[in-house]
Amino acid sequence: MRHNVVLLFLCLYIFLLLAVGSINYTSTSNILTVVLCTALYAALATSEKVTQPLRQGLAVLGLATGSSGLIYLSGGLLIAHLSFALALVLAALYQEKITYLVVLSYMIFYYFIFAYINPLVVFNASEVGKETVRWSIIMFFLNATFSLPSMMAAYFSTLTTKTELKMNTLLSNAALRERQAVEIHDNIVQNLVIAKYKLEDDDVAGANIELDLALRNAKIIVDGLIEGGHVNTLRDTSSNADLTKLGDS
Amino acid sequence: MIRICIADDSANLVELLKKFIEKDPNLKVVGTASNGDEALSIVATERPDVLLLDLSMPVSDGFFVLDKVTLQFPDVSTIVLSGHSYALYGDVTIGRGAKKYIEKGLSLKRIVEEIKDVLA
Repeated sequence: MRHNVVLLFLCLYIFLLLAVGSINYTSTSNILTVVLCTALYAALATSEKVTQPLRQGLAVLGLATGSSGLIYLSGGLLIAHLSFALALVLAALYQEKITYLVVLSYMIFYYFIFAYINPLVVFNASEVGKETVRWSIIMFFLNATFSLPSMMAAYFSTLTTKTELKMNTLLSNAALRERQAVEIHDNIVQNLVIAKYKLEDDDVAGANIELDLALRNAKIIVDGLIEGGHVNTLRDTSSNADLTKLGDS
Repeated sequence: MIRICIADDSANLVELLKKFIEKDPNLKVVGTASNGDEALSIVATERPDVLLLDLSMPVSDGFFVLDKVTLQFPDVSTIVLSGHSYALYGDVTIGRGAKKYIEKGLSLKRIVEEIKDVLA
């Protein structure tokens, strides 16, 4: 679902790139290069042959590429730089540190290396003059700050999910332990009850056999608990069949 | 003649109960089941007067059987015969439709008396 939302935005980016490129009368080859790069990421991010984490990584890389393409096609307008904030927010949707870090790393490279080498590709000279380094720092932190709430929301949402998962595991373990305790109790009681009824029926030999079985079952259960701490004595399981077999022998 | 069905996964116990119950000329065991599904099937076909029901059974447990019998066969009196104390499941099972709760270990003679008592 989240991946689909990101893919949807990636497709919107492609249309936006085409529109901005056409409005600014940028050369067709430039528009096509930027659009094809973004579309390639989008295509790879939808491929079933690619693993899920890689698909997510490709999708956010597509967003980052689309953002830098948008800046380029707009002629470096400051408003276009805010598309990185959108890319970061969308990356945070995955609730994975790695996707967020991919976009952040891309931005670090874009603003602190690429913009230093090609300032006029990244910024509009009429807007920032020669202060490109200063504006690189400003735009980087501005985008990062805009995306902070969504990153925090993603963090707390992940935390809640993890806590819920932990609580569910604890609950199911407790339920299993309770069921095992009931079954252990039942296994021993059953033999003792039969022994008692056999005595009532004057079958002393039969009662002795049942008492031996009760003792043996108790020993097997306790040994299992001490050794593994996890004894499955549930009646419809193979381990219990083994226990019964031992009892019968 | 009181017709009885015994449901317990311990074949030895079922055999003992059947043997002792049938010593009484007024009681007849019409079916025995080793799991919950079997018990329901026997109740549906034989319509016994009394169902002697263990709680811990494979496939479908005694609680499931008790609920089904209470709902679908209200004329069948269910007596829960369990290895657990009354304090643990007694009130729960009686609240769900059982006529009596007997702890396993009660003498066979008393069990027979309880069966007769439930239909008295």
